[in-house]
Amino acid sequence: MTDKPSDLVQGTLDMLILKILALEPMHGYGIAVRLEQMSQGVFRLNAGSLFVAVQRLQRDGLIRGEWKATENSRRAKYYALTAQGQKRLNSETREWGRQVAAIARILETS
Amino acid sequence: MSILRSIADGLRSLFRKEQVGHELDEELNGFLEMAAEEKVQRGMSRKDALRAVRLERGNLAVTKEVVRAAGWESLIETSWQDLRFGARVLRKNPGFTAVAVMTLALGIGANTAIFNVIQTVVLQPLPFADPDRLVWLNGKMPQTDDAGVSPADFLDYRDGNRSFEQMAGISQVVMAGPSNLSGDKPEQVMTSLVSAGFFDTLGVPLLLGRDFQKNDEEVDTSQVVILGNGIWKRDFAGDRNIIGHNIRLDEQSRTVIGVLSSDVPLISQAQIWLPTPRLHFLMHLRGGHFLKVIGRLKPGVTSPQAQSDLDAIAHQLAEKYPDTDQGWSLRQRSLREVLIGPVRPVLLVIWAAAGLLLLIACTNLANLLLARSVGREREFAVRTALGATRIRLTRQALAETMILVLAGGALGALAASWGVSLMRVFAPPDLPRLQEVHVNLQVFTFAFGVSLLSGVMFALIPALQIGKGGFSGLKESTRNSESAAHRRIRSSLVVAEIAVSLMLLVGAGLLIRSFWLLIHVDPGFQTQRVVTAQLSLNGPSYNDPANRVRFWQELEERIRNLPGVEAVGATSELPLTGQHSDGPFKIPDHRYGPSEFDDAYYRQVTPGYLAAMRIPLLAGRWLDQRDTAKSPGTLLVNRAFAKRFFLGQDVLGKHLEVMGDSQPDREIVGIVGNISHRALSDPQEPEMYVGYAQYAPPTMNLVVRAVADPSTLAAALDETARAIDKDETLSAIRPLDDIVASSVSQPRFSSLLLSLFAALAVALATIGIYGVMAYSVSQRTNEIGIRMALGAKQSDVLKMVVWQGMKLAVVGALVGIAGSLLLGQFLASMLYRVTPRDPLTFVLVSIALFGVSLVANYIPARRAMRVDPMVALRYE
Repeated sequence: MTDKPSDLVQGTLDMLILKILALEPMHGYGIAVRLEQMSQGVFRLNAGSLFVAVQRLQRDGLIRGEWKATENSRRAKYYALTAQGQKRLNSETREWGRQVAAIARILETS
Repeated sequence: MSILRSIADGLRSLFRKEQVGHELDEELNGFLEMAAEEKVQRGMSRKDALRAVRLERGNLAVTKEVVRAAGWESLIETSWQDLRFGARVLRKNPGFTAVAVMTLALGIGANTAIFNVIQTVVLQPLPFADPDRLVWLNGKMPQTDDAGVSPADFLDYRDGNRSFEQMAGISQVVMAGPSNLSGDKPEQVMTSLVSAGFFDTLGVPLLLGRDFQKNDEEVDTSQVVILGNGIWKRDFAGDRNIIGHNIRLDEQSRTVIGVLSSDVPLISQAQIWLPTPRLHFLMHLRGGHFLKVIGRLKPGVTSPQAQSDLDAIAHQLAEKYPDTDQGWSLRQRSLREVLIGPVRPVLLVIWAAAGLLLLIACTNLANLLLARSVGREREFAVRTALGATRIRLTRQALAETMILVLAGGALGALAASWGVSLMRVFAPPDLPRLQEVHVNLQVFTFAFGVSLLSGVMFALIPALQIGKGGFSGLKESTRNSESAAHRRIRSSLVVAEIAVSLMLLVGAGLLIRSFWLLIHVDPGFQTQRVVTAQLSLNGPSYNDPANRVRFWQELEERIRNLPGVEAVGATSELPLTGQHSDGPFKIPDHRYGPSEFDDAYYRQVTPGYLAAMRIPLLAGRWLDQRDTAKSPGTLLVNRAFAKRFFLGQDVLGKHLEVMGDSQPDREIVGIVGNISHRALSDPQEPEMYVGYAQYAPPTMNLVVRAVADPSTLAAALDETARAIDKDETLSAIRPLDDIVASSVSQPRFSSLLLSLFAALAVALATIGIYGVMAYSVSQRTNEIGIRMALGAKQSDVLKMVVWQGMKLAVVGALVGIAGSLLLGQFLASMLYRVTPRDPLTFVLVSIALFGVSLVANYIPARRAMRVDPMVALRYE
């Protein structure tokens, strides 16, 4: 019953969700599937972690949800990035890049 | 923005829970369906697909909870759930709940009530402007440091000092003569003379008009008055145009120049204030120390600075007026110390007692909760298994405790307001400012704080125990035995309870014993069936002492002839009322240095007084008709006087030179018994009695001994007085028994309250011991069964259980005795003829406590004794 995936670096899930939604608006399941596809099966989310993160992003005003019909004519809540979300994604991506580079440099030094 | 949105969103989930829940359901369902659909498309059966999704992505119900719990609103929601659940649990155990809430209410109520009184009386600043700069100045000389200041000296101190912003004097309260303020009935009005600027010095503003000024004092008889607030409202209907009007006071017309914004009962009971008439001969005396003086220090002046300033003036005065001023100086104390100091130790002792009571109450509750938490281990284990986290369980337990605490606190606040009214009834009259006491916000905050503190105190231990067992509670048998650590905590709680109860019992015991000794002091007069009243003859028609003497002769004659009257007399100072007067005198053969003299209580009595009080004549004769204004001066002295001043000599026939008397040379014609004049607890002092015919002060106390109940006489006495002079009326009509009783009201108050607290403490401790033992017996039923199956006799079991409990009692008592010996010294100042280590009290109290614990142990022990071994063994 963990509510965060132990195999994801803390805090990165939000960034990944923002990245996925930056491509196109998506419902919950879609986010999970896309994450799995894009990570080539490395990140497999359970529903709890996903929706807690989605709720948090929504409350922070980074994404917003809207009920729409899916291609299979089912009702689902589609989430889209807000302007604020886009800004946050940009800054987090930059920060992430900086950190990864720094970590890599440390690890490479022998 | 995002915080606002988060709040809005959270509020939406709180108040539109169903819709939000529904949306979440739909979203999660959609998630499940879409995932399953994909698997079905890949050829799985729908049932398998749903199962696979659940395995991969987690249980839907759990997910829902997890998502819900992530928002801040869930904290509120679950807290609310906790509270509701807690309330339900408590409702299901009404016995436990009632005991817990009552215990707390007692502890909190007692503390809040006492705090309420202490806050008003001790902590609150005096109701004067800038009270910290006010000091009380006393006349001081080798014999006493509690005398007044003479008016002439006062003026020199006032005008000569450099340390005080202002200084003002006030006389004793005197009953004014015939006054008819309201116009319908003569009444006795209490007045004080005060010097110019008195109210300004005190910092009590005037509602109307102005304070006395120096030119108001330049008279022989005071011409102007300031009305107290109370009498202005009562007799003048709060007339705002009263300034400049004349009122008749003491058969004299006087002009109202001011009205006080409030009376000042802390300083004087006076209802009307007059300026000190500086031209009156009394105001020129350096020998008459009758003014009390209040000074307001200049800002920044310290007390030692002021003292050296005053000492310098005293030194000058002594040089200038050696006859009257040698040896005299002023002693300064803060006004606060003078007014509040005497009652502070009493209140603090009572507060400490209330604090101990609260400690016991909390200990008891901790014990109860601890016992319950063991019994509920299974419940908590089940809930842990169902997914409750330890934090959640602890929160749940805290919620239950908080309900208890708040209920106890609310009930306690209610109890406190009753307690305060009760204290008003029982409090000694000299406890200042009690009428100002009212329950206020600060007091409620205090009650709440105390509740919270006690909640934390007694909830912490059980809360820490929760969930330690984890799932083990499920695996074990239904009957789990208490852990050793647990038992130790509970045992030490009981030991603490017994120790604290014993300390309270010792305190109460000491005070009760001291009080008992006090009220059994023989005061030297008989108090039963005596009524007393005060009468002042102040009007101009009584300026001639002969008229006063005639009035009193007539009054006594008529009263003696009333039906039901056994004896009648009058005295200038009644014992045990605080009325007091000293007479300086010299024994002719003795040699005295400058401004040296002897001193003893000095009172004027009518011939019938001593017999009416049943003060015995030991030698010589009574004062009687032979002693008139024209006959040679005579007086009676008491045995203490004879012993102090004429030890081993024949006192009768000796002469005294009484200073300041109209007839200085007086012959001792009789010796009478000693009486307790100032207080029952004080040693009996030397006294002198002079006949009223030879020295007639305006104010006297009538004493009437009745054949039966004296209270029926009151109306007849008043009528008799008014039949002689329609302007005269009796005041302060009180049975002598009342006077004696109220003179010991402070020790009565403290012993009563402490006994009450001690009794409650013992009751709580008994419940505590009983609870622990009953619980321990029920835990050990199995063990006892085995013991009995192996051949233990019933009496062995009884002994074992009782001894187990009594061990705790013995340890607790030892700790309590040690604590009492340590803390006893704080009581010492309140005890009369009892030491704080009084062995009798310690022994009796210990025996009583052992008796009570024995009973508390015996009941569960009997239950243990009756355990049927077969039933106990099969119980598993």
